[in-house]
Amino acid sequence: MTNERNLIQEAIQGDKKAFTSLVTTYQNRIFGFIMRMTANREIALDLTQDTFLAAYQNLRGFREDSSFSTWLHQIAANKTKNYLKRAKREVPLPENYDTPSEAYRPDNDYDRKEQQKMLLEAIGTLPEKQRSTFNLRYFEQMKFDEIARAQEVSVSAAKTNFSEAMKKLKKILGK
Amino acid sequence: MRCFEVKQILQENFTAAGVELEAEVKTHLDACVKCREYLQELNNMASALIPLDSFELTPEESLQLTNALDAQLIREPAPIPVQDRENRIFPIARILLSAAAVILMVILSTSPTQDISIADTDYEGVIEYSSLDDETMTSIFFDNDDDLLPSLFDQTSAAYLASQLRPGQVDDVFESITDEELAWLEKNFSLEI
Ligand SMILES: [Zn+2]
Repeated sequence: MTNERNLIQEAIQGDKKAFTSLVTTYQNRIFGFIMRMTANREIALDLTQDTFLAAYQNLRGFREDSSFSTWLHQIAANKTKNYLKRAKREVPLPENYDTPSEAYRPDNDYDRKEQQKMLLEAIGTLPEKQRSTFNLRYFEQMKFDEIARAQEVSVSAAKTNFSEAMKKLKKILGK
Repeated sequence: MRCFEVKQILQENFTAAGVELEAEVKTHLDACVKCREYLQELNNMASALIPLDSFELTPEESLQLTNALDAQLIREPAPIPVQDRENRIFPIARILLSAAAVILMVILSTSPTQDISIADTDYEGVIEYSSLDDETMTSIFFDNDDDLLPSLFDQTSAAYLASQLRPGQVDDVFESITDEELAWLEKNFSLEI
């Protein structure tokens, strides 16, 4: 963590290499979060890039009252929300889903991919706010007050969104 | 503890990292079949969600991301912390004005400050960073339309150029520009800090 704090401080002073180290550390997590929101690799990659660029530009606004990871996820959630609003795609279609490099994935990964696709479809049926809340809470383990801040809602609204998402997912996954 | 409370606690603490249970909840679970069933449902759901736990960029995608970011970051000024910035308002204004002066002198090439040169790459950075359209650019650089000069210089490009000035260059500029030139700069480059 101390190392991370140093890297952030160096990046704030304009050290791009320090920032690149932070990108390397968090790229898969941010990409994963956006994948679960958009179900589209190409778009997720673009939005991951947007997230890190915005993070750099706003690095001076990073307060250490939340973790860097949480802060990044808040930016990613915003970027994704704006994208979904723009694209009017409340229900994402898992197109373009395959990895560009098939050789990279082991053969037995086929089932996992099929399952992922099915699950992404299920999660994609949730309204954006519930989907985002569920992702941030379940997969990213963010605290409800952090989620509330990220989504500009009350803590109880964040809990309700999570509860609603759970109810729907339980129904879908239980089938 | 009532079942409703227990279920609420179980749900709110349900994450991919697993459910962490307090002693009080555990005691309730030991005694309550209904809540144990609910916990089992959550565990089943967690198992079903495992394929979504992590996504990885392929090495190609990772490289693509890093390269694209590098290309964007190279144009970004350092994100100096707010408190530092507040203390530096006057110096920053001075630096931006100097930056404006430098580029102005380079373009006009008529001033005593023309020996204060900036590197070609820095100059290109300003042009690239400017939000001006092609036509305006052409007017400035090919038709020498001096009236349009201030528009070349917006805050972003000024900040970029300022970051490229070598130490001492700011003072050099301030010492060598005339009062008239300074007045003109202040009037035309009302840079918001
Ligand atoms: Zn019970």
